[in-house]
Amino acid sequence: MQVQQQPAVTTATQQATGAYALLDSLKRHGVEHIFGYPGGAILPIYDELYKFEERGDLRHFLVRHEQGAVHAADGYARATGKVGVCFATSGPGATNLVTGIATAHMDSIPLVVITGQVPRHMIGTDGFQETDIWGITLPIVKHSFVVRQPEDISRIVAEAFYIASTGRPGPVLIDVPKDVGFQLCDYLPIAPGDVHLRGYRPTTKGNPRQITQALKLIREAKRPLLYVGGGRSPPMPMFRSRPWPNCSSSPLPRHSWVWGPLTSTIRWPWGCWGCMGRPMRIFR
Amino acid sequence: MHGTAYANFSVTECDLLIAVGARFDDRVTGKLDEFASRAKVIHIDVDPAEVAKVRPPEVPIVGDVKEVLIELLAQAAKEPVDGQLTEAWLNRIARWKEDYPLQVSTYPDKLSPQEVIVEVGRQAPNAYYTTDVGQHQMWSAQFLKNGPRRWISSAGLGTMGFGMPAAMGAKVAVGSNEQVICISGDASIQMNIQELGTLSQFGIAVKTVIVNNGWQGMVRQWQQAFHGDRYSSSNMEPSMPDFVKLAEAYGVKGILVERKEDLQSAVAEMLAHDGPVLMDVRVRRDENCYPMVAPGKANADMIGLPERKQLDRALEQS
Repeated sequence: MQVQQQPAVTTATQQATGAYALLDSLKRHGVEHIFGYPGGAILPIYDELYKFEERGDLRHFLVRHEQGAVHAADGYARATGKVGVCFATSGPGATNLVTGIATAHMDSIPLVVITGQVPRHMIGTDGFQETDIWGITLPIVKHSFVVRQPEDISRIVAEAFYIASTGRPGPVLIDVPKDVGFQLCDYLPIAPGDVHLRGYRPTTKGNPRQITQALKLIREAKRPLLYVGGGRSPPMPMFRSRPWPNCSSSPLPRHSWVWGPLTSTIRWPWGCWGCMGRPMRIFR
Repeated sequence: MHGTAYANFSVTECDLLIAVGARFDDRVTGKLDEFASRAKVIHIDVDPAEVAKVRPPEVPIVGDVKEVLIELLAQAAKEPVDGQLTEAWLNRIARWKEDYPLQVSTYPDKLSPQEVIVEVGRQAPNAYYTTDVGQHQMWSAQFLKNGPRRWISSAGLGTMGFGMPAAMGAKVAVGSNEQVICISGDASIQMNIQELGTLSQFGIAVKTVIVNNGWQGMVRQWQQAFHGDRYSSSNMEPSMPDFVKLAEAYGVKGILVERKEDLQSAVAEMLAHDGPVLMDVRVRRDENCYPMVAPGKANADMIGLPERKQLDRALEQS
């Protein structure tokens, strides 16, 4: 997954609030659109967002219910392959995201979900609009963070985007206490992908012996079938553009066998195969 | 569960199943021990936790699907493969397709849900489609032919209320040169109806089609099939809102379609309108979505198939 890079204005350390660090980091990760709904705990972030919007650096869409925000971020991600981003405040704002986070998790959609949280000294006191959204979403996120120091924000955002968009994609939550948003810190931007996560190294290259073994089975099969799931990156463009040796048939049909409902058979280099396509999965 | 007959027969009879970025979802497999039971399985997935979670593969390959397939095809290209081996199989699948097509119901006096979806798909074949959850979702999957990234549906969790906000996000992403259409039901659309306000405030030109049968259609179908017609809390007719008025209350254009002859022009009007549209299409209430594999049944054991033609015995034995 390509994390889109923005040209950095500066990569030097600067004095900035946590809120600025957050939004600037989002921008550096290619974020252009955010869906969300403000509230007390996330006001410092929204205040900074106001300035970013004035400059045309980010665009925010105010929804009518936080569930709308997270589903919108999800639809955004599915339509583009980019990481979808949404904002909500603490407490009920955050809990209103739960269904949408679970939806994205189940379908492996890359999201970065940012929630406001009560100030650090109030966490655990049953504060106004406080919920342990980190705890609540544990089973339905790919990963999650609670920001403890504003200096950590640039690293957290970089890690969040990396985790959300690599390997099997999924939603990542970042919970930001209100006072962290206000606090000044030494903000050092981190470039997208410049993360070092011991213990998270998704395998991308298939084992060559397994591939050879698979090919052997394919050559022998009389009744092969492709079962294509919601696996994210559509290989379709790859098949459209390459010429295939040993194939007397015409170029592949336009219909995407990855994403579309059941299509007719496709011709691979070695002949025609039945294809079930993704809808086998969505045909509930 | 609502897949085409030829897909279900194919998977039942195949001798090699190549699973690519798929997780053997229960809605896909039906009765597990009869799912591709005659096949060896190659499972390619980036998530090692999925490989062998449901079905132990003969050849597991953990890796990025695109990279693995590129490598696989590169190796395959080195030596020609005998296309003749699969010729009979493909003919068989073609026969199944011919004998068991998907059916679009038609009635003299009322629109069927399938007709509505087929018409929208016909007029906007390249649009981005989102759906909500239920019968309309299954018919959309059956009848729409979508390009890459143009099928946006809550397939895994099955979240009602997903469709319109997801369409909103997709439209913001893809911009004004692409159509984004949400196919919804009268029950689902009410779950996040307030997002009409967002569409209106920002002029997000999502086109929402409500396939309105007055019920939670899929729940009704199950209650009819499996619960002795006891329609427990699935009827939404008594306080069905006037969706056109509701849309207009938010400053969004509303269109109502009640007659068959109005469908085509209404869809055209919806697509041509510069701005968001909510279209309420009244359809036949009791339509059921077929084929269907009942829970606990094997995929080949479908209900609602069209009447079989006589199959060529020789083909079956090949």
